[in-house]
Amino acid sequence: MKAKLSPVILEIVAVALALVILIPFFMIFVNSFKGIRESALFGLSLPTTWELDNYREVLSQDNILRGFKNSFLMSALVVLCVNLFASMAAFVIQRRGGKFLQGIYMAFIMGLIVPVSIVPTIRLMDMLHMKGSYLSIIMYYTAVLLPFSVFLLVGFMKSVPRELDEAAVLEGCGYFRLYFRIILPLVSTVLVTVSIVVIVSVWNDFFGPFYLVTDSTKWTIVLQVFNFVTLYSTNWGVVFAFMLVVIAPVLLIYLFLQRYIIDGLTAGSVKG
Amino acid sequence: MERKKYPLFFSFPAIIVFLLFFITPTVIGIYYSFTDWNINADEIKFIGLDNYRELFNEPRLKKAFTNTLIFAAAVTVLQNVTGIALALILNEKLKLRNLLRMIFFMPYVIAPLVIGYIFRAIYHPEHGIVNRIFDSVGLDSMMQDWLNDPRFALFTIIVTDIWRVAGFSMVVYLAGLQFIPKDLTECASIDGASYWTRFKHVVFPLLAPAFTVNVLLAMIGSMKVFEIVMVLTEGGPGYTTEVFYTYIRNTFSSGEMGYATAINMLLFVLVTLVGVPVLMAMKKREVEM
Amino acid sequence: MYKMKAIYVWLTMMLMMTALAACGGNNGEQPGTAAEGSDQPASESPASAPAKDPVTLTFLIPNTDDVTPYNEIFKAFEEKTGNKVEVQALPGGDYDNMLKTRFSTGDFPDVFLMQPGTKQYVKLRADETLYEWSGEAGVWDNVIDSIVEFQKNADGKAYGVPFGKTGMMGVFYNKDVFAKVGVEPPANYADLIEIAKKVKAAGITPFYEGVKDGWPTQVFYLTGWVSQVDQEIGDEGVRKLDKNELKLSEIAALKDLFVKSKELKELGLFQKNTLSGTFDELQNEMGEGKVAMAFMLDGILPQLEKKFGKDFVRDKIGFFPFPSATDTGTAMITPPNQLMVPSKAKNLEAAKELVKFMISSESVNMFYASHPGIPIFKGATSELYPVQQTVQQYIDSGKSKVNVQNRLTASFLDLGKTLQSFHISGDVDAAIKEMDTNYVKDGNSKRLEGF
Repeated sequence: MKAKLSPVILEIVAVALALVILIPFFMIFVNSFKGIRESALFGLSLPTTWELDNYREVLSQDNILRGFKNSFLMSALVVLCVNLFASMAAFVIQRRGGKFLQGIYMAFIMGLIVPVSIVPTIRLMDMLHMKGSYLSIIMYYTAVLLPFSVFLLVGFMKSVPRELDEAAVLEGCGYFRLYFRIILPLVSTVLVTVSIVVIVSVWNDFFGPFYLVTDSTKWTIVLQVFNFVTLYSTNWGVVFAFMLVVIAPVLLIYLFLQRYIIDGLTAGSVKG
Repeated sequence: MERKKYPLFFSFPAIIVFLLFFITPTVIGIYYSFTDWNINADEIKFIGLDNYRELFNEPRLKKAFTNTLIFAAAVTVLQNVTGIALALILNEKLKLRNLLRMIFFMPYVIAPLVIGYIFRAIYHPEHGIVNRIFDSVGLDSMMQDWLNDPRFALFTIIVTDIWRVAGFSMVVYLAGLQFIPKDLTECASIDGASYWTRFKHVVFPLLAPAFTVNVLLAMIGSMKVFEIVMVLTEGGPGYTTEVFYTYIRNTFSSGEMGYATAINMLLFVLVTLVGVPVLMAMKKREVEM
Repeated sequence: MYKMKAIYVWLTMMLMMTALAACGGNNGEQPGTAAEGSDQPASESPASAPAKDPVTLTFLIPNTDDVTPYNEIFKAFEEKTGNKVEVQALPGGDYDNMLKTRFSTGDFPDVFLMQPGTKQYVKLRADETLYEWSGEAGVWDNVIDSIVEFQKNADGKAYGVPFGKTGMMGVFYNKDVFAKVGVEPPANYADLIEIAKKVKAAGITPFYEGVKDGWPTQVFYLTGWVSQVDQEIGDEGVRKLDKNELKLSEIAALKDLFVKSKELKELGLFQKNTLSGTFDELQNEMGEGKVAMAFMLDGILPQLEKKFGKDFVRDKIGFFPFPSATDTGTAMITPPNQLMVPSKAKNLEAAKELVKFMISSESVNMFYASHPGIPIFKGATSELYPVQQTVQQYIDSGKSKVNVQNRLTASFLDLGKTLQSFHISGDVDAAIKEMDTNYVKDGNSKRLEGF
């Protein structure tokens, strides 16, 4: 590596690598507008005729719209649960400390590492008489995403000065008010990060609902993709159109909030 | 202010949910892995070590075990190498810096299942982009059946996963690089000492925190790989690309729940054995710093 | 910081709104119908509709089956009774398990489609879970006698109502290719190899094998079974297999099938990228005349029709059974699927009504109009494709046999996977041993007698 690399060459290399990322997306984009025979060739050329019917077919399916609704519903409710539970817990874990809470914190960190025992989870949901319900899947996701969120929030709480608490309490502010009025607004940046991570995880997940939900009316959009591909594997144009429709919302959130996503994620992970 | 005054019950919702829906399944999983729990029978009988005894006689478990480890090792190494390389490039004063950073990270927010389907098309032996590119540059010998030839299948899955996660590592390294003076990392301002030596002795040690985080996350994440393998090869051809989670899924689908739980327990042990020491090292480093 | 706050507020609001919207949509949830139920204009109740409130029935079907004809029938059903039918297509490979999981939690569908055979009664523990039809009026009069017999178990009970058509597996071929090469359907197995060699010499792929998908590879063995394995072991042998008194690895004719498949591979008679072969691509290649033959099931016909039109399927596609060493072989037929109703279905009466509606002659004809096939109902008319006429001739001359999978209670578990490995290694003994082990394992797991 003796040779000096000029920024121009580096820029070219970087753009070439970026193309490696972009081409697959371009491939499904152009093919999603192609007819049944042409799309099966997976080519990069523009469609001979732009076939909008693929999208029409996708959007006319009841179960796809329902899948969207389920994904939105689950993401939203899990975001609420995780943000609330994790920030409250992180607040006292960081402020109060003590053996018990330290133990809890370690348990959460272990939860970051170990895999979920998914098959016994089915059994558990059965015993709790909530198998296959929205509640079961929301609780499952909350439990799975709590460790990361608690971890991130505890790290961030350190940067919120204790003096604020004291001042507030001296003025007669209760702990609920202190937490909701003073602490929450101060950690809002991290909450955005947590929210986005939760949304992306829930939206993209296949694993959870595949095992826990057998009623296909409650399936999320990613499960619908899985089901749809076997069903329509013969028409790749429609399959690609469906995939684009599925990744579009996440991509949009990402494009608009990418700075916060990236900053938030890395701030959390590097600071630890 | 006195620590004890902070209300303990604030932590209860999180603790209850975590205890009930994360820890409980793990604990009862230990029990169920010793039973013949099966979708075809009402009764669940305790059968001692039978599941494990049968498992250890299965060549399939060995396959899943080695594949998972190979996959995890390869992904961890390659993800970090590409991650550092990309981060170093983007740390230069490039015009498109922000745009490029956005692009590289993009695959990370897409569902792995969808990525799997996209790449099934891309690796198609005749129509897929990969082979067509090799064809057009005259590299006929490189035109392989990437996903279905047992010689290449696992390798192809690894490459696909790198495509997906390299951007994440890059971003973590970029954050680490922020704390390092620019003139140390820029390759344009080289004088005397070769870039590599300086990277090894000066830059890399400073990147250590980012490195530990990346290694931990990559190892843990890649041992839990599932969707991408399921979609690309379903563990096939035969069992050549079987990993733990595809094995669990398959056993689950044939209704052998107790057996599937036992496989899950083995994965649990494996991930713990690998993850905890790394985590400890991280904690220790934190204390030292 | 302000900007940050704004984004957070915006995000929360967006999420709250979607949550509320989604929750709202799910209030008072009738199983899986939330949105549509409210969309329907109240005035649209047909004159003949019964006085009771319309219900929505849940119908489960594996997503490997084409739902189009079912949707048509259900539309007619809704017009007649006011009851809606919600079709849930579940992934084929996980269908049984998902169904059983739903059973175990009491989340019963109203009606579901099941593969044929009384073996399914065992699997689903029908006596506890399913509605019994043998005494039901208005169900059996229309059904062909042999099919009625097939539905009944040893006690004369029928927990399923047959639906669909008599299916078939064997060799499907492109007639144009055969004409171009100048060959006729084979007289015996050696002849088949000769034909394949000639096709290859003409630069066309003789056989296409969907190894990637797994399941298509089984067809060779299942069709070969009726042409040579049944001859060796007879019905008695199959009965013994069912009780695990005979081992698969002890059957010489079965082993011979593995040898034959290996021979095809070694002669280079499969397509170039065998391991990446899929059902989907088979249709394209055969339709375009790049492939001459495939060991396949008749599920390929509607797919070919979708891609290449009805005329193509009628004029260009031919069929012959797996040839035996001495003659043209035995045609393998598959009994029709069956409709089942859980005895604890939420809307049992309406579900029974739906089943009866589905086997009424108008529905049945509607089904055959979009999926032509050998009818299982008396007086039903279906225009048969020539390939199906061929099979009908075999049936009429007594040269047909039901798929062995439908005669055995345990399944050839993961046979597709075993055959993938076999395609790579070519190890006959290992393959047949794995097939044997998995068969016993499945019997074991289903808690069958003798395993």
